[in-house]
Amino acid sequence: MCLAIPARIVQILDDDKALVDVGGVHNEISLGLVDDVGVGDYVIVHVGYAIARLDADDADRTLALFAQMVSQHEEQSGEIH
Amino acid sequence: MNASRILEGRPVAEALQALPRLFSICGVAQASAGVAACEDAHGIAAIAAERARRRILVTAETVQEHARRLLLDWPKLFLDAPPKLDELAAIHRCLTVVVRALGGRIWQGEAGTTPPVLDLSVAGEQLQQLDAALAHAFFGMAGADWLQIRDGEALRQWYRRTMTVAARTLRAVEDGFLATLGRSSIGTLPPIAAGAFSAILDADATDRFSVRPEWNRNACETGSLARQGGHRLIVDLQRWHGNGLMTRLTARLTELASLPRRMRRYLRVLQGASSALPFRSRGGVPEAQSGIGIVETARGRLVHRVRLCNGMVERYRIVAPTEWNFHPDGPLVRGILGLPVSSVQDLQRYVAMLVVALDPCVAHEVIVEPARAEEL
Repeated sequence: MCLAIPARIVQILDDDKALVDVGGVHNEISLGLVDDVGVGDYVIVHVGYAIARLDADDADRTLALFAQMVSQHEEQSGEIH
Repeated sequence: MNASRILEGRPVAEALQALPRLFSICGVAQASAGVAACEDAHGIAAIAAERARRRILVTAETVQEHARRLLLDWPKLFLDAPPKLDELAAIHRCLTVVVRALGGRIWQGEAGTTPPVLDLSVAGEQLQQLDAALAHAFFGMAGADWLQIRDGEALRQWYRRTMTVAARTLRAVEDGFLATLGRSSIGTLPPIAAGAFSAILDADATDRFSVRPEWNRNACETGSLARQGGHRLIVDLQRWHGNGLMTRLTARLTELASLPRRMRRYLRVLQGASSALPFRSRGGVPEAQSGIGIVETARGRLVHRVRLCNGMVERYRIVAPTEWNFHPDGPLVRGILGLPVSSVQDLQRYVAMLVVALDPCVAHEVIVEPARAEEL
């Protein structure tokens, strides 16, 4: 299902790219589809591209939802789909 | 665990706010299905104008999603070329203005919330801009004119003389003898009554249907091909290529070409609206506080089923289109079975093409592993 965890930009790289942090994992993504983002901003990433910028409040609420989902998952057997 | 269970135990308003946050890749369609399901459970229905407003927003998201696949994935996979970010950005700009002019969000808050102020003239102007952006990026002509292509031979003439990514991709499919790649006998998902979906999901205690949906015990394909199967060009392509790559990719194009016209039709409904109230009651409180919302998204049919109790979400189930298309006996797997394997690299490439043609809502990677002895 179309879940997308907010990613925090930790470093701006050359060629309109950036390093993002998703739950402690760092990935390189393209910023070619979003404007005006910088270090500390949250973005939604899809297949290697940032597709939307999230304001901090929205990102916090979304991350809290995912944290709840992970703890719910840990209480149950099976996998997230 | 089904991710939609995170919505259970929450007040309805909180769950509806959470939906587009959790499922943000097709957040508009998810919100639309969720709102429709909750309204159904409350015994209310959106008036025609509000339904039209939501349909424009969902259709805008469908255009966006199709454009991403065509301009990000198709160049890389079929043409060994960089993505067309400028063309995608031009389409995104038009859609952003349309969506803002129509209130921005599907769910506008609980009953009594002031309806959004709509700017229909701005939305109409931007739809014209969108026509131009799609013509430039994909068709090399107005989308409405492109839809006059009636058969495979006329399509061939178009992609042989046009230089857009879409035309060059179809040319590459023909030149690479890939037109029937992924062909299988799997059927497309037929129209299914809301009541039938509701009964199945209510009886699905183990979530099997949400994870591996089947209709009449058969896996089915949902998405552009299922919706465009009646288009005369797609009918002709199916005669030659079945549901292979050429047909699936072209179905995406016929759909994309038709979407601005559909958005304009919904806009006319909005322009003719007289009521400012977004809802009407269907009369009385329903006996069971359960509801269903069904929305056609870029990737196919999305179903939300909700059961409410005292204003709280008691049970929430979602059947996403990716579960149909990537079912263990679904169109991807059936398409892969029997693929010619000349090398691991070729197999990886072919499978990646089929995956992109079906367009999952999650990132994917194709890994080929040799079979273990006991599997042979």
